[in-house]
Amino acid sequence: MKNFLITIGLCLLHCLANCQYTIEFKTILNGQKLFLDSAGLYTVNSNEVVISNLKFYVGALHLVNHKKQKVKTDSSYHLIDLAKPESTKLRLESQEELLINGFRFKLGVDSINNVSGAYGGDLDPTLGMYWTWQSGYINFKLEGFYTTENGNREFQYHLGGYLNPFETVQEIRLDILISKKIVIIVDLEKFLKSIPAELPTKIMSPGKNAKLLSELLIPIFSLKNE
Amino acid sequence: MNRWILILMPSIFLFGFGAAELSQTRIEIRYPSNWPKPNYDFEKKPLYKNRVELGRKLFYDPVLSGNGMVSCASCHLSFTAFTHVDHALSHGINDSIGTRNAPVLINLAWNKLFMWDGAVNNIEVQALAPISHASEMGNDLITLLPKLNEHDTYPALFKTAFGEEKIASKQLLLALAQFQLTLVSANSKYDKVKAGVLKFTEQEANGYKLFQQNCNGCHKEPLFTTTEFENNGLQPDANLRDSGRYQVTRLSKDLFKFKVPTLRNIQYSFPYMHDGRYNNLNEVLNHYRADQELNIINHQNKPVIEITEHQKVDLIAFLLTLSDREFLFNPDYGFPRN
Ligand code: HEC
Ligand code: HEC
Repeated sequence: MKNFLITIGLCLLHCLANCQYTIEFKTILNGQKLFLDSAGLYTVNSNEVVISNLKFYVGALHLVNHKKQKVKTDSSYHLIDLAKPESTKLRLESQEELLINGFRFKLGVDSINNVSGAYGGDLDPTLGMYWTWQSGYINFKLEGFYTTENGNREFQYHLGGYLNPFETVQEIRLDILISKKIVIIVDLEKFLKSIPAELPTKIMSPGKNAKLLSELLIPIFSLKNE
Repeated sequence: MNRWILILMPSIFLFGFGAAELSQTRIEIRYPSNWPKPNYDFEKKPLYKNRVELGRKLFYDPVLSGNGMVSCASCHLSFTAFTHVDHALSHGINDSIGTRNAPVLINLAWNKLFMWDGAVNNIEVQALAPISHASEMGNDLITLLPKLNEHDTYPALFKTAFGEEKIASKQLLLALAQFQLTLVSANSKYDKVKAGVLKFTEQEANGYKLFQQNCNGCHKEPLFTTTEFENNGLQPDANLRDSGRYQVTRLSKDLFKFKVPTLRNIQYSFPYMHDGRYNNLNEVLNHYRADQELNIINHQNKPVIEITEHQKVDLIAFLLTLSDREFLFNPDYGFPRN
């Protein structure tokens, strides 16, 4: 028993010092850090662009080893909100030292959590990420405008929907040997450039367009070692 | 018979939000043994007396609306099976008119989806729709929650019900849901006949046969709905342009499908259909009759029945056996007096 306690104690000590993994989402545009509501800093498709709102859900966070086995899981949902810098950093605690070879997460809220009633915390429906007239979470919300010769051209992408065949939640898999400090780059330029020009600039309900845009989000996430 | 059974042994449970220990009285809804199991998961989220009573108070309280004038009960009146009688399209804040007829609130625990098009997937999140709808209660939770938190009575009531004084959306929504889940109608003449206590008249018995032949496929016993979405061949209204279930699923097979409404207490829930286009059951049956003009979009879907004027009277006599006065006048469902 005594030995057991000592072992636990040692392990705790060991882990207090070592076993916290931080995950930070860093959003960039034109290769620079993104600031909300900043005019004159960024251009996309040769138009100046201002981003006023970026929020998205991440869930089912997994750290995996070189055999792709899950070695650490956080099954709760986190709302990443660029207007709240503290929300862009997450922590995973581990009891032991892990050898990590990749990071997996869901971008958006699973269908089961979309149909199971009222939640609090990051899934609270008052956080602007829940449609009131139709049940369901907005997985990814991006709002802003382009300044063009003919005035501002607004865009609003509220991407979500959990019903087949228009389910929008995406699994993001990033593989690379990583340290305890995991930095995920979110490259908005990639997304904005990949949106087909013929699509409406306001997509605010589930359906074909929301699904298409959600799939374009997968490649904008990448891992960076720091 | 239909009132809540209070399980008198209070159960102690650990409350998920704040882990405060609460002693609560559980309530269970009662229904005939031949009914299917409710769709709502009462094992996971049991009903508690405090929460149901709090939900009832909220249901009748216009504090939920933007101008403090409209309550849930404004459109869902207990004496008419919780629908808005006489209003084809519901009336909300500042006399604005909605786009649909307020449905009855009956046996909601068996519903899979809510609203005429199934846009809402769980009763716990349903209230978000009317509270935030500009032409219903014209409010939003960001404005409402601080108001409730500063209210004279609500913080204490939420504390007894949920163990926490701070009112957040989850508790508000759960309380409203808990009250509505107790709205069980299972004591009509039809139910008493099924239980062997009463007998149908000859006319009602004829009507019942006609019902089983023509209507039961969609308005399925004993709930009188399959709770699925069907197209019953109504001519789409050119002004409302309501495409029903399609609006949610975006699948062409769902165009002009609406949730099959229960026919329980149908005597009281006029006007009928999602847009309240028919004022009485006679008009409804005329719609279902073969000799009615068929519209082009929908006629292949229309359930066409061949009945004589005489049989129509019998069928209506049967439909009236679905009235449950004990439900309509249940003191547990009415305006809270205390
Ligand atoms: C202005 C009138 C109005 C008010 C106020 C109102 N409702 Fe409704 N209610 C409606 C209408 C209309 C529908 C149908 C909406 C649809 O199908 O899109 C409805 C649908 C519902 C349903 C779905 C029933 C089913 O079988 O699908 C529930 C439950 C409900 N309301 C509860 C409430 C609650 C709780 C409140 C108060 C927070 C409330 N309503 C306030 C008009 C109203
Ligand atoms: C194919 C399925 C189907 C069949 C068969 C059917 N109904 Fe319906 N019924 C519906 C649907 C769907 C609605 C709602 C339509 C709407 O509002 O758009 C409805 C609505 C009604 C309503 C209005 C209820 C309310 O609360 O507004 C009544 C009454 C009714 N049906 C009676 C009958 C009777 C009586 C029969 C048999 C003669 C019958 N129905 C056969 C699907 C059906």
